[in-house]
This record gives sequence, C-alpha cells and structure tokens, in this order.
Amino acid sequence: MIDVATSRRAGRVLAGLFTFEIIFLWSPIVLLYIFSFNQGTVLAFPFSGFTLDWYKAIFDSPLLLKSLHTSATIAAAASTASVIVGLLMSVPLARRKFRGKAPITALVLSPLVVPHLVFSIALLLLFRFVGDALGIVSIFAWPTVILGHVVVLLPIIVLILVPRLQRVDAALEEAAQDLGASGFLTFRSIILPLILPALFSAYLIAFIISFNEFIIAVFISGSATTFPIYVFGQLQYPTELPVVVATTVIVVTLSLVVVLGAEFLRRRLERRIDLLSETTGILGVSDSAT
Amino acid sequence: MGVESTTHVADEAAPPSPGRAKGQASLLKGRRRLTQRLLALPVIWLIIFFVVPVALVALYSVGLLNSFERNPGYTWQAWGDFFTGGIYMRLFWRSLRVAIIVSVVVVVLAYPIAYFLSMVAAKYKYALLILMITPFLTNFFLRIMAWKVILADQGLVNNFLFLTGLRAEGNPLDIAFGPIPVMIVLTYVWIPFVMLPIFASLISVDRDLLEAANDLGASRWRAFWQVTFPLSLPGIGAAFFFVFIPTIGEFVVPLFMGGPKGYMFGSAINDLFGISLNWRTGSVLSLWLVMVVFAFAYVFMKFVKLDRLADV
Repeated sequence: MIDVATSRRAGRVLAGLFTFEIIFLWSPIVLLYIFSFNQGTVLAFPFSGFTLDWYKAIFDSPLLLKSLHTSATIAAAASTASVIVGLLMSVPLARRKFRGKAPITALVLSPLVVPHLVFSIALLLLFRFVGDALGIVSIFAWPTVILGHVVVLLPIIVLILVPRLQRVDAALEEAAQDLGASGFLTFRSIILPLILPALFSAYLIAFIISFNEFIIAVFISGSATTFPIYVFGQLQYPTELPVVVATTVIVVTLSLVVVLGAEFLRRRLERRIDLLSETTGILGVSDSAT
Repeated sequence: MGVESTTHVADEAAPPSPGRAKGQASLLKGRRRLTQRLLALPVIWLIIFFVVPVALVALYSVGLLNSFERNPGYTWQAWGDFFTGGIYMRLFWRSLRVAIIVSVVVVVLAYPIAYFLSMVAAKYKYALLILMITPFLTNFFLRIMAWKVILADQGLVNNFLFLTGLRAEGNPLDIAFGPIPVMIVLTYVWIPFVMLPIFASLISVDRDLLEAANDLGASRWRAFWQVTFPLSLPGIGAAFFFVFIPTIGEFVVPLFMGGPKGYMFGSAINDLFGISLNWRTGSVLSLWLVMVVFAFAYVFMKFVKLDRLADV
C-alpha cells in the first residue's frame, strides 16, 4: 500500500502531530489528576501540598453520591431502552425494503440535526403542556430525562447498528428460513450473534453519552440532580470542588479501564464467532480493510 | 438518508422456484406485517417526544401557546422583531462565524490524526483511538475549569510567557475571557469526537485502490489526493456537521469563558427561557436555529450520501 502516510518522513511528521494533540487533549485532564491530590480548595497554582482527603471526602458527601446514582440510573435506563428500540428499528431499516423508508430514516436521524438546546426547550414545553393538561404541578423528574435521552441516543444507535446489519450475509438468513426457521429464530440464532459486538459498543456509547449529558437534563430534570448538574452547581458556588475533581478522576480512570477492557473482550468475542475477516472497533468503527 | 442503498433481502429475493411460490408469498406478507410492528414503537416514540415538542415551539413562536400571558392569540410580531430588531440577528451572525471557524479548525486538526491512526498505527490503532477519545468522557465542566487554570491571567500559559520573557509580568495575554478562549475550548472539546467519522471513512478506503494507483505510477502525494482524500470526503463532511450543529447552539462554554464579548446566540436562547422568561422570542430564536441547521444539512446532503457516513 502506497500513500503519503506510508513514507517514512510523513509517518514521522504524523506521529509528531499525534503526540502533540494527545498532549493537547490530555493536559487539562492531567491537571485535574494533579489538583485532586492538592490540599488547596481552589483550582489554581501554586500547590499547597499533597493530600488524599478529597478522595475520602467523596463518601462523606451524600449529595454527590446521590447525583452519581441518579446519573447512573438514567444512563442505564436510557441506554437499555434506546438499544432495544434502536435494534427494533435497525433490523427493518437495514434488511427490508418497504414504503415510507426514506421519511422514517429522516425522522430517526433528525434529532442529530437539532441542537440539544432547542430540543431541551421543546421537551420542556411538551412536559409543561402535558403537566398543565393533567393538572400536575411538577411533572419534571429523572424519568423525563430518560425519555429525552432515548430520543437523542436513537439516531446514534441506528448509525452504529445498520451498517453492521447490512453486512450480515443475506444468504445466511435465507438458508435458515428455507430450513424452516421462523423469523424470530433466524434473528436470534443467525443475526443476533453476528451483531453482538456492535450492540455492545452501541450500549457503551449510549451509556457514556447519557451519563455525561447536561443540557437536556438541566432543562427537564426538575429537582433531580444528575452528576453533570451537580458539577455545574459546584462551579458556580464551590463548596467542595476538589471532591468533585477527585470523583471525576475516578470516573475517567474507570471509563478508560472499561473501554479498554471492552475492546479486549470484543476482540476475543469476534474471534470466537469467527468474524476475523471483518472486525468492528469498540467504538463501532468498521475495519473491513485490514 | 442513512440506509437507503441496502442489500434488500425480502422483496428482492431470488426468483422463487415454482413449488416454493405460494409459501414465499405468505412469508413476504408476514414479513411486511413484522416490519410494520418493529417500526411502530420507535416511530411513535419519535413523534411524541420529538416532532410534537418541536411543533409546540412553533406554536409558542407565533403566540398560539402562552405560559405567562393571558389570551393567547395568533401573532407574527416576535418573528418580525427578530428579523428587523438587529440585536439577535447580529448575535446570530457572530455565532455562525464562530461555529464555522471552530468546525474548520477541528476538522483540519482531526484529519491528520485519523489519517495517522488508520494508515500508520497498525496494531495499536484501536488502543490509541481510545486514548484519544477518553478525554471526551471527562466531565465537560471540569475540563472547562482546567482550561480556566491554563488560560487565566495568572494561568499556565501566561506564567510560561512571563518566565520566558515573551510578555512583561503584569501585562498578561488577555485570553481568560472572550471569543478566542471560547473557540479554543470548543476546538478542544470536539477533536476526539470528530475523529471517529474521519477515521471510519479512512479505514474503509480500499487498500487495493492505493496499490493500483501505485502500479499505474502515481506518486504518494498523487495517490493521497486522488484516491484517499476523495474517499474520505464523506467523513470530513460528517465531522464538520458534528461540530457545527452543537457549536452554533452553544451556551455553556460562553457562560464560563465568554464574557460580554463571547455572548452567543445559544446564550441568548438560554437566557430568554431561563432568566427573562420571554418564551415567545426564545421560541423564535430556537426555531430559526433549527431552520438554519436544516438548510445546511440539506445542502450537505446534496453533496454527500449519508449512507456512506453511516459506516461509522
């Protein structure tokens, strides 16, 4: 294979650029790691000494723990629901031809094109409208956030699953049906195992997006406080900023471990189901060329 | 869009053998019913929680719905004020400029990285990709906080400038507030995210095409410009869009780093709904944003087939 990238000089330049951008991307995060061990209560230089107190303090802050719990609950529910609904939708979109396919595709992808701010406001108006109609004063709570998150997660899941489903050989499906398998059995025993890695990465991505989502949550969560909302409050009226930094350091470290672990697992899984000819990265990126 | 050009299984199945024809017909009918059932839930969901809410914004913008005044009535006044008033329009042009600059810079910075990962970093490309993307998983506000530490008057950058004598102490580079720090932070935020579609389009470039270009005597640069680059255009387009849409509606970063000069269209929408409770004008601005983004999306779709970028 011959391309600019494969010349030695270009490879070196690109590697240099890559290193530079890795530093650019990681330097604020390295700062957060450092500040999580700093005795001072504000994020500023100079440092005032090493401490592990902030990590201990996480467990003494019920509001912080509760916000983490709320975010995890919302993320788990929203990602599960959106992966199921997204799968229901992706199968016909990828493998069937039917009337109304174009408008339905446009509908499912259109949340990608609407800024979250506008969508949040639209949801706010909807729930207020429904609340007024039903006479409920405060309809907003963490379940409303789940409803909103599913809408913005759906197009992302469909974009991950559809290309995978399209690559499942149609002959396999036909063979199963010729042998008398029902539609559901075909799906369960042929299609599902083949797209399991893609489903898994779709779930992981959905979970992470939902967990970190702020704009929709802040508009329609009512009095429920998600982790991003909690951090937002801490920035405006800091009372325990270093504790929040320590928490974030743990979250980042954990997500790095989980994502790398998932990538490792995926490789093993794909090897097992004999998909070596074409693999898909944990982030759903297809890799048919290698 | 995404999924139209598909390998159609059901309705274009191979011509049925005579004995199978009857069974095939009932099978197709069953499949059609199944397709409808599978799609019903998602479509209803999206109509209730996406189409209806956006329609409500439209009703608010023309006064047919109202939360704070009595006697809702049909009026185009808020729209008229928006187009003739000047303030919000000026804010809009400012935000549009910021969004375009940020999108272009992000794509220019992300492309070589995606290119490097897909072409050069063979075995470790996914591990490196994850390393690249993890910052994206960190809480947004804390990353902004970290950037404030870096860009503040007594921050890392200025301290470095003082130390090296590039800048006199007491005369720091003014990068703590304003449009420039907003653009720096937004660029920072979007690079990892935007790498993915570019990486996806580059990794699926057929390597045989590059071999062929080489066999036909093309230089490395020529192979890049005539094979690799055109094939990665859909990824570039998608990347541009993934940055442009959230950036033009951005209000969080301007809130922390914008100052008065960095106030943006999204900030105005947020304030109209949150502080001044002028929901009608806020709805006009929101709807205008949606219309502009859809217009961009439409033009974009004319050039790029979305089903290519669906390969992400």
